[in-house]
Amino acid sequence: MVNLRITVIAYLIKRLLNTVLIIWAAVTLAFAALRLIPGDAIGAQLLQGGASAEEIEARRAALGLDAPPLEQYLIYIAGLARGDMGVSLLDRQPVTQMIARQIPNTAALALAALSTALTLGLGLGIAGTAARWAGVRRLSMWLAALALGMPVYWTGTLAIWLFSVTLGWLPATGAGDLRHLILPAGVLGFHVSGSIARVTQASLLEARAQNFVPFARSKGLSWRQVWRGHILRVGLLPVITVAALQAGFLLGGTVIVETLFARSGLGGLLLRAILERDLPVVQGVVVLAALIYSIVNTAADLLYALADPRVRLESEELEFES
Amino acid sequence: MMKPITRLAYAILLILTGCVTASPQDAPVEQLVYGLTLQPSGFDPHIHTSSELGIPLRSVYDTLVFRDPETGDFVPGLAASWTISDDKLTYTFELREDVTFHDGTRFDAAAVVTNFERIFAEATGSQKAAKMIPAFERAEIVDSYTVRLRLAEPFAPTLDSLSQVYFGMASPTALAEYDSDIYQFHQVGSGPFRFVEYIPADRLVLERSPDYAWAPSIYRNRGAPVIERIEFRFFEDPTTRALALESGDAQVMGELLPADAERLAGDSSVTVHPVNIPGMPLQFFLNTQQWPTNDLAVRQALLYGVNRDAIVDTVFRGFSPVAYGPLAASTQYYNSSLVGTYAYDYAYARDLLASAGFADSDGDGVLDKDGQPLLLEVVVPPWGLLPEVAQLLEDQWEALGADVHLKQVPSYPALINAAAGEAQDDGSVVYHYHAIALNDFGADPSLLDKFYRSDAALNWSRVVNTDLDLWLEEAARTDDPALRQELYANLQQRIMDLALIIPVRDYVNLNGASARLTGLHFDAYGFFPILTDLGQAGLTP
Repeated sequence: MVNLRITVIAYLIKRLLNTVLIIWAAVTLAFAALRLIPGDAIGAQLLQGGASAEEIEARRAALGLDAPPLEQYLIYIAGLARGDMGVSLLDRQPVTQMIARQIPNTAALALAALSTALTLGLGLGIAGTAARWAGVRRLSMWLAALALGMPVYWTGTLAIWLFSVTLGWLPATGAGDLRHLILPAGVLGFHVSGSIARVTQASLLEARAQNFVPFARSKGLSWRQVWRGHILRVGLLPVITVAALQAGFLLGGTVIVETLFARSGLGGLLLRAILERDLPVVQGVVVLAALIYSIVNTAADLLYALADPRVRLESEELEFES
Repeated sequence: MMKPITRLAYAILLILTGCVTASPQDAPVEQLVYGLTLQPSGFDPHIHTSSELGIPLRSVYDTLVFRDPETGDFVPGLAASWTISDDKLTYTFELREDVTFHDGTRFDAAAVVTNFERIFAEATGSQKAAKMIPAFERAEIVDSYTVRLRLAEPFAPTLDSLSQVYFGMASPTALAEYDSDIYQFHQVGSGPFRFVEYIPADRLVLERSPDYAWAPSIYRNRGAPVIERIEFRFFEDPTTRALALESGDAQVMGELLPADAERLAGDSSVTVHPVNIPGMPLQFFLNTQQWPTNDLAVRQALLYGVNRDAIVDTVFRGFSPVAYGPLAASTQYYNSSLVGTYAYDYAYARDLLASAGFADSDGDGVLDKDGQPLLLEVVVPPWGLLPEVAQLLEDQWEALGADVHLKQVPSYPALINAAAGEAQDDGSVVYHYHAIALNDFGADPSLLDKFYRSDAALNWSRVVNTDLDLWLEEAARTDDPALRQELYANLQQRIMDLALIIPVRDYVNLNGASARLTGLHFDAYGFFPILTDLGQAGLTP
């Protein structure tokens, strides 16, 4: 047990270093990529008003945008190490503050969508494999395929039309209370549930084909007992990994859903920053995304280790070797 | 397995239905959600350029003068009266003495001078306002309520500029308290609505100013606004806009899709308010410096080869008038003699191309000359349904025998990049476009200056023409209406004689509003609602 705790702590330290590395790589890539495309927010804005090239240069110099890219990069990294993501070129507000203000809305949407996706995805996946009637199994997998195949844009518009315009049950747009969350989270969650259902089904089928199934049956257990006690326990493990991967997709999905439902959040912030070339804000969101991705994957690994003794043993062995 | 989940979902929905219908539908509506269609780069009218910012802020600020949307004349605002010196270099404004800003600061001559100094200070980085009176020299206090504006050269559109939100008078106290960079989050004016907050990518909120009692004559409501609070939110996805109106999430919405506006015209709960926007029509500049559009005959052929009626019918569902020149019909000094010119004539367009030396010599279906194919690069930004317009343009020009490459760009900065040329070693410049879409809005035709002067930054037709330069300069200097009329008529005619642009349609903003909302109308510039008049005849059902 002590060993296990040390292992977990060592593992966490390793992951932390890994996370720092991932963020550094993501930031560096974003920094370079964004600067490969010519033009910036300042030049575009000033030119729109008919400014001359000299005026634009003067303004850029005043904001420190004329420094060599490497210098700008080092200044940015140094700031980032202190938790300072710089200042928006458009709004002159600290990027950390702008992002922090939009996190609650986006986090609420992402979490609600993930819960919906897990509930629905697991439900469809299990029903699609274990349901007694073939009709229910087929219907479940058909729904999963539908969820996977229909783009969020389409289901979203359909959902607004049905639940807001026609039935008048739910608000179509905006953020605020729980009622505003249901449609966007439902639409996004439904889409993500498709792949969770698929993986669940595949994994359960694989588990059912294992030798322990006839063994348990021969011990006299009923099918229901075999499903509950054995197949589900083994078969649902990979779902953790898929759910963690989907958390990454959700970050992207929220951008689309937030735009469609005119919901304030990180999506709108990012979209505007990209279009107007407000580079510090784009970089800030990239850092956040890398951070979340790392945390979610670390959590998934830990969860996996807790849920599956085989993984735990393997990782302990690995730790002792290194 | 599915059944309990379905039942639960139904239960939740039913509970929610109860919640929704329990909301007080019969109470007078005191709050509005007003849908903006894009997030502007900033909301400081002294600094930023966007038309979007004026939708809320036109009602936060008063201006020295206002422009009457019916007559086009200037009427008193914060200035009770004004005189212009004979040499047209000095404007003297007698100010109202009964005005206070929302923070309690008194409005006086010193406040006006502070505003002018801010707008024209280098450090402010004004992108639009400062360019709107290019000959500004200084503003002086004459006495507490008299202010003098001095110009280095006569500039006819001065009052037009002063009547716009970009010259809204802000509280000097607030300007002193907040840096230019962050003032946009703490704006204080003297208009019918008070600025409450702006959160980028989220919302901008206004509340009524109960003390407003100095309405200009163009406001029907003489007193304080009826509506208590207006929340402006961003509806960037065009399909969501109509749905948000229909579901009651928003009470006013700009820039509906034409198909949605058509559909909503038959809906009793929503009214559609199409508003013609003065300024330039939706148009493409033709590059006069790049082969093959450097040949006048080719440019004219491209104009004759566009079926604009078909484009307006298909893309805009007939909601927009077809444009024939560089100014929209609702703009001052519009030259109506251009109507009907360059009417679609496929055969004539083919003849023009043939006379310019183009033939399909290698039989590949694309015209060529001296071994070079008739290749056209067309740069298309995402707004104004331009991608749809460009698709039809592509079809029509390919039918003429051109090989058309559409280059879609996602944003204004990307459009600027696409327009830029590459300087070559021999001093020439190579451009990567033959046609590029761009337009601007305004009631005074002096906005052409930014686009057709030889040295203008946005001269994207790359035209160098001494007549255009001279006329533009003279038209901006003289305040003789007859002479301005003549000069701008000549300018419009010459621009089309030179085939510098493909005008497509006059810009029409398809606004939608809840049928219960009365009093929606717009100022002389078309985009900006007069918010204080909203709900005048009662917003209650």
